[in-house]
Amino acid sequence: MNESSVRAWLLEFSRNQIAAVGLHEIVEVLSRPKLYHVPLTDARCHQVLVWRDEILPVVDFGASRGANEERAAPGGAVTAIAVYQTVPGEPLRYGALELAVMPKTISVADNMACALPDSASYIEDLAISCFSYENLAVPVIDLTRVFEHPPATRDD
Amino acid sequence: MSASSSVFANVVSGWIACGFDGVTLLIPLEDAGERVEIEDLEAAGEGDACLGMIRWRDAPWPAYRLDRELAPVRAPVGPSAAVLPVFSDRQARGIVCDQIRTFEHPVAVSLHAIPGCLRQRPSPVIALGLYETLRVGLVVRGDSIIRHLDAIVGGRGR
Repeated sequence: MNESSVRAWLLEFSRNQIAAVGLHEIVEVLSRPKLYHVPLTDARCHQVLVWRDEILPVVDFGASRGANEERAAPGGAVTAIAVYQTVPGEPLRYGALELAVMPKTISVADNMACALPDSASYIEDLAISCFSYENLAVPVIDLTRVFEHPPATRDD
Repeated sequence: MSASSSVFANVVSGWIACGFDGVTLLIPLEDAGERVEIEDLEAAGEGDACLGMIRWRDAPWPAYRLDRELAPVRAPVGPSAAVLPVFSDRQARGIVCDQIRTFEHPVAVSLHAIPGCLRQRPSPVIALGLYETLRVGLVVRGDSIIRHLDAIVGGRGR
């Protein structure tokens, strides 16, 4: 790996849905925490959990869009606590991501950059870049957009 | 206690938790009345969305059983269910709760803003509440839940 590589977390939301965030953006991984449903929300973000006396939103990219059903957690499913900052200097904020498997760290270099594929349309409004890893296009997601913005409304 | 809890502490003397279908509503004591037993409900019309009617200020008001999306449903009620009256501006509605608990202290519930990704649709939920350390409830006021119910049933509940 060349000198300009950085470490990142590879996140697998479901079999065909992956993304990456920076190494400093995942602070803890929980196994099957208690989740609370919030009504009148989107399938992707309709639950919260309690972590360190705070209520955090839980985003589940693996949930089918439009189906407001409780996620049936598969064996080995985990919840990653992510940290982000809306504006530099502001207090850190936290959110949770539902993952199909434990996240793993990878190295990412500038020469791995690629275009966002059509298959990543479910996440295109949240992606800030993309890179190729083991023949897969991996979107890099902006956690502020993930947790602070209401999910984009689509007709499809 | 969060900043929003401090604001509420000035106007709220305590909370009532109303649980049903896997969710818990947290309602200020000021907006709620004494529980009404299911068998004490007055009969509703055949096509009404409500389960029955409660009486408040000599007038009948609809009582609804809600699902976890806060929509009225005509589902059977359990043996421990009761109706919690909620009030706002001379109006009342009843909400069927499987469990009703009272917290007679304003800071029994710590209020938290609803995260942005959960704010896609109009909702009567004005905040999230943390109580008993690890439990999360949905904070509503009498006016917010009555407006929500009226928007769904179109005022046909009475």
